[in-house]
Amino acid sequence: MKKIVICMIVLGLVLTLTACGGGGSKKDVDLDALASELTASAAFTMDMGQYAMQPELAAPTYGYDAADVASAKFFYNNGSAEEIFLAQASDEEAAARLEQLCEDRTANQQTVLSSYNPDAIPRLQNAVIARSGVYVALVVANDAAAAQTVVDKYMK
Amino acid sequence: MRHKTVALILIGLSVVLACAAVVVLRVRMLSGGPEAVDVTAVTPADYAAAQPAPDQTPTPEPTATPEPTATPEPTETPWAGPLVKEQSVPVPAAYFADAGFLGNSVLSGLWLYNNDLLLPSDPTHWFWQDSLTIMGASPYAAQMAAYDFGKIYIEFGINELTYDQSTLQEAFNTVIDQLQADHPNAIIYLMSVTPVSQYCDANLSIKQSAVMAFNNMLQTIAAEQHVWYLDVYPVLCGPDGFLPSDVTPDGVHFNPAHYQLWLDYLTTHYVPDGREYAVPQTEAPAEDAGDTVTDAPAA
Repeated sequence: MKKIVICMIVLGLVLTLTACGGGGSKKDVDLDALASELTASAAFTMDMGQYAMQPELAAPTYGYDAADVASAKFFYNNGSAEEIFLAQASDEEAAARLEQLCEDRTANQQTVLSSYNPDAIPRLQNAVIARSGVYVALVVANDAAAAQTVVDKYMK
Repeated sequence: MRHKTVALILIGLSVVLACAAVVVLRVRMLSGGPEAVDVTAVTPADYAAAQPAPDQTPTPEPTATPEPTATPEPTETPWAGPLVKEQSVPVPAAYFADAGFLGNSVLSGLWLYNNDLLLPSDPTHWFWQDSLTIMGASPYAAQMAAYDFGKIYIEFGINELTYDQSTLQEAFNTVIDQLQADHPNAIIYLMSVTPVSQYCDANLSIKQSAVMAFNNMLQTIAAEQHVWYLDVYPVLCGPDGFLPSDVTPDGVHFNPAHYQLWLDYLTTHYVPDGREYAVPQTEAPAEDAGDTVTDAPAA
């Protein structure tokens, strides 16, 4: 009897640990609040709030299928290469694709901007890319650590 | 008796001759020349036409107006370019619905920060790339051939300020020729290179003087190619003649509020395309909101 109880307790613990680990959080992310806190932070060289763009421009900018994204917020400073891209994907598979596109974009931007905007390169190299369930965030900021702190607050 | 008769005859003959002489003299006075003119047919116009020129022949036509030697072509109006003048009535977003845009990262701001959707947001209207130069623009211009653009806006220069003018002119001419062939009815605009900041001018390789020289070259190219030149440069300069430092992160690109100056400029500097557009109205006070009419979609 004791052995059975101990096994059940251990099994319960194992299941609890499994539920807590890996795969990412399933919580909802308030993209508006995250965008507000990011743009208000000191992570960027200029007020990113003024660089808000039409969300439909994000699809051609990142190259994703519009069907993969339920909603998005997009800020881009084409002079400093700082940007904020926050998206709620249609499902987790789409979120994985978006995450990869964010990786591709930062790599491509480094290639393109290296010839005439060297200040942008460290920002791109330290870009914050995060995925939590169906939510994806890309932040290219002058202060990557400050940006990471804000992103972690909402997505971890 | 006989003498008297002869005398009378002689006298009469003299009188007749004298009268005839008077008539002849009067006629000569009127004609001004040796040749006789039918006095009864002389009109004031004839008189004017018969004024002294020893070799002038009397004009037989009733009118003396000289016939014009050449008739100018009535249908061809002189080209008013290349500088696009300010129009009194701004155009709405509908004017730009068939516009295509070709250029570099500076141009991209018109697309990125076009939040009021004055310009088309559909990326099929936009052909740009960071660091793109006019020397590399032909493939992008070729892609534009798939679309029927009524206007084409071109922005290059900031990435090629150090190239020699002959290379640049040849490259611009090639691209313009290509666009004119693919879009024979399009209004083609060359937009000026935009200013740089004082810091950029003083510390980096991109000089304001080079920008100004490039713009002079663009005007020459526009004149030779019969395309239009949009002089956006002064609109974007601050009081010191440079791009204001507080609008630019890198001395070259600028923030959305500054791009709005450029967008506003495009609405008042255009070549009429023969279509009628509803006159954009300024925003009415809240109580009159129902009367506001605009072709631009709501932001």
